[in-house]
Amino acid sequence: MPAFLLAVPLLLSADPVSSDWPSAVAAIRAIDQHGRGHAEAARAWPRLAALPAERLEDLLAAFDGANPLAANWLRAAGETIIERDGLHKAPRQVLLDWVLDRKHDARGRQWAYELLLQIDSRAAEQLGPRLLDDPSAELRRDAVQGLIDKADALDRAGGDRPAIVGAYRQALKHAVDRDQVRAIADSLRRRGESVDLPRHFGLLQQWHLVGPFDNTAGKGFAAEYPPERALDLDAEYAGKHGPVRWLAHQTKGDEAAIDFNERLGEEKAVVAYAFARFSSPGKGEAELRFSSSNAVKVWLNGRQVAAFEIYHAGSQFDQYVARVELAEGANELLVKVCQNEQTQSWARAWKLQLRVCDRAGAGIARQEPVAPRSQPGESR
Amino acid sequence: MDSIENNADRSVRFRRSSARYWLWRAVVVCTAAFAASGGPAVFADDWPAFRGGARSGVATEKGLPETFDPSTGANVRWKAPLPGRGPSSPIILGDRVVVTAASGPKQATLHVICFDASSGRELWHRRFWATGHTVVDSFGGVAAPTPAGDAESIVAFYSSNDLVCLDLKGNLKWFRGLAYDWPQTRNDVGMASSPLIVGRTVIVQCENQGSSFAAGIDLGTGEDRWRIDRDRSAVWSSPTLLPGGEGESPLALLVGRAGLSAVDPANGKTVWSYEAACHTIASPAVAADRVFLPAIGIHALRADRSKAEAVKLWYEANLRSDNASPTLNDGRLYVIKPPGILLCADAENGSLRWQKRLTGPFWASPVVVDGRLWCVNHAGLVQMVTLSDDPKVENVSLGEEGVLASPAVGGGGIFFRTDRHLWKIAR
Repeated sequence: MPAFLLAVPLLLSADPVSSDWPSAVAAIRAIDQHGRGHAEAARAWPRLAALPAERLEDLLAAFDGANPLAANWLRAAGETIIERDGLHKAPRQVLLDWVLDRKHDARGRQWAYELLLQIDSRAAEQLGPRLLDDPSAELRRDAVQGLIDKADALDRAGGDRPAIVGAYRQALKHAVDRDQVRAIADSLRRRGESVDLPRHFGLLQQWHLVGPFDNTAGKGFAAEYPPERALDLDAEYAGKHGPVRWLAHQTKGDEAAIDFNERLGEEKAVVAYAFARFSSPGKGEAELRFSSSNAVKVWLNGRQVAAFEIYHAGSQFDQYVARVELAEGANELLVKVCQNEQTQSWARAWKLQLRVCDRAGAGIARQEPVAPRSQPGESR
Repeated sequence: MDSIENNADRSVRFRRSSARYWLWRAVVVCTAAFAASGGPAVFADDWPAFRGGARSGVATEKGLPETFDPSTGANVRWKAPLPGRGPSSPIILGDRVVVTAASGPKQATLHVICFDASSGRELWHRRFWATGHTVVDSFGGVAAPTPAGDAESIVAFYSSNDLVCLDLKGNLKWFRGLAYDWPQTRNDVGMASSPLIVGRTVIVQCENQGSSFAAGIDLGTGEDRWRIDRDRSAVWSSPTLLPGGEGESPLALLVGRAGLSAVDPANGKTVWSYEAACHTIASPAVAADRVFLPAIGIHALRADRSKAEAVKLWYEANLRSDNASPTLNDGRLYVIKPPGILLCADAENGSLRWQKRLTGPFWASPVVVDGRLWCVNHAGLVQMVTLSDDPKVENVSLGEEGVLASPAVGGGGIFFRTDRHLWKIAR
């Protein structure tokens, strides 16, 4: 047999990508915390990066089910492929289909979208209407911006007021990023329209508060005061300075933040509890997003879902995010907010702002001023 | 500005990417850096980390411009747009300049961009998703730590505690999410400590009120070599290399709120420590066995490895540095004291030689370039001070505000990084 024929089977099986692609993907997806799986992943990564750009769909499929670390390894392989083969080799239609198919991983879709924009800057405009209610905030953003831009253009062109307001309302309906929401709200308010930002964001506004309890030397964070054991809005507790009772509290303004200094009196080394009930339209995944300059613990329906013992190290909207499962209908939330003993002027804040939203950031909590009907301590 | 402004083509330059060039560079490997760091192959005129190879903000390269003029383009070799914000400084590895940035409404897209130092052409660009949170003060940014590199690797670190290792061509070597590993690791003002490469170990300080630690990570594999608990309080200053003496391995200096620790890069064990109320942003300056520690003034220390201790040589309360780190050059220590007073002291005894009022505030640490101290303030005003007993100041504005990044020097130029551009100043 001629020697060159011996080489044929080798050539046919020489596609390094197809021959061990599944094992290479598996190695990347096995990466976990603390560098686990790095050795295998590092060996596998060049095989991923060897994929021809025409076959990017294989790489995109690897994002589905990948953890955030693995997603970054995959993206790096993808960028290496594009840099080597050129953007013109990327399969435009595959990318388009991938972006629009919501069953795929949001990161893979986001990367496909970014590639599409590099291929065709008009892609955002074309895809916009189909991304407005996307579960990924990142994919929604350009689509919402498109609506804002249209409303602004209508305004500049001297369009009639109902049309302009309608355009901004349409943008607001889909907006989840705070900067976009606020920009739309400002435009509407300048035209005399009312906008309920707390409701839009799902910020809780109706609370019951009790305190202060003792937090000398920061010991109150770990201490289990009576509201953590059993909730009774009619109860009287032994507070730091004497008996304390629950007080009904309604937040004010767009920020819908509780200022404990205003409601309970300004002091240091203290703990307060805030309780709220809200309703959810259905059972399922949601996020509690909250902000505080103080140490906080959060319980949802009797289960602790977050704890951060951090004082006065910055505070911003959506500072903390806890992924939770909501019950359909009534849900109960208890938050412990601890103030420490720092005396600097910037350490005065003793506040809490909390909202309930879906994964994209759209508010989903609804509140009615009703008395609690259960004893959370029974389920804790 | 969306395109590179490039004056590099005016002259034909030696092709630095050639094999000959690299061979030549390999010959002139900086022996001091080699000995000091246990062997990372950095080169004499590279700027491989925050404040350069010796971490003291002193350039070895000569023949660089004494001034520049953005209005005429004089000595502005090129200016490249950046895809996102960042207080991080550029680093220079041979003919490459590497910058990090963060973009998006939450600064959650992390960038590593590599430019050709000669032309300003983008060689490669990698993007990653932050796996830790990206809440930072609006003043700063997620791309706050300066990357570090050697002849084989680039390590980029972010306030989200994501740590990326790439080769010099942009191929991923590994990616770690340190806040993915330890979710309580966070400082919502933002974290800014820059990584330090010592031999084959990357040292990071993640000091905050949550899960607070320092770690040594294998540069080759990205796996933990060691991890030590640190005080639960925020620190933004960067680990600094203390070179070893004859037959000694180097140490890594870790600033904590209550003192300085010298740890063995191989295992994280503390060799000596020194108690002081340290500045939590400025980093120490080091020369041989001397450490100049910002801590309500400067504490000058002599590290004694044989006794595993640091001996205080002098303390000068007046040398009270602000956020910019002190700079050491030719036996003089330079400290910028609020509200922008440049102090020059004798490094032997701390005595003040002269002081000069500059225009602050300063976040960027100054650099010494051929007998001049280049100081850039937050407003983008570059103030070049002659380092003589009768110092003169020349001011040039970059025309871009919000400068937090320290300049880098190497690759034939002086590099400034603003939120929008990377500048190369060269003849």
